[in-house]
Amino acid sequence: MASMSMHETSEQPEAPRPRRVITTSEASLERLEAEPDTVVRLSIAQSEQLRRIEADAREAARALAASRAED
Amino acid sequence: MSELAEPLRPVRVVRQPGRYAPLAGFSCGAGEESWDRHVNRVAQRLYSEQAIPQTLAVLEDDGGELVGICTFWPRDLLLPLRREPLLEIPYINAIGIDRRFRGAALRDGGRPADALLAGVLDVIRGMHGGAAPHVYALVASANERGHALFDRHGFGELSATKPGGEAIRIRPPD
Repeated sequence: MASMSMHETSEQPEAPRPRRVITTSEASLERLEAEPDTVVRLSIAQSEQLRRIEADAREAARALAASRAED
Repeated sequence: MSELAEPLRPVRVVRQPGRYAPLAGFSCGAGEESWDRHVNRVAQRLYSEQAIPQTLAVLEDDGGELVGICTFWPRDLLLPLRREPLLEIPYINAIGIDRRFRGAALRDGGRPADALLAGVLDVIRGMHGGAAPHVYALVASANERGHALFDRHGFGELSATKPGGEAIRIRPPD
């Protein structure tokens, strides 16, 4: 019968390491490079800004498509 | 200022930055500004193979001179208000034009930085099946040239949450 080594019997799958979440006021070029796994969380106000940016981009794309269709 | 040999070559990804000799002499300035120092530091670390893993895209002129660099890697961005997080979207860590070509004008009236960022977006499209996802970067409030560049390429601005801090510039998906 094959025997198991201590290493084999004690080996456990590694749990994923929880990632640190920081706010945008804590984020900087240096920090994001020094901590590549850190996740940035937007504020509510920034999330709203993003929603408007996305809506404006969609509107601009629609207008462009419409003007091309007219041509 | 050095003269650019046009046409510029298409922006390309350098797989082994440590073996890309032009990176050794790259500098986007004497380091008066923190954002220039950041780009220079990234270039040096990539060349000495001490940088964290990131994609290096380069813009070269027709003679093979290194005009500019941009690095990015996938990163998550969390959103409140019950919105799904943006997962693994390209985060632009550094973008800069070599000091020799700062202020240069291209024959078509464009600027090297525009050719670089447009080319990087094409590279990103290629990596994402033809359509760019959200792409974002951090830009210092005082970096007017950087903000103007991202403005010209469809990046919106999420205001910095502290005075003098860095704003997020984010481009919606294609």
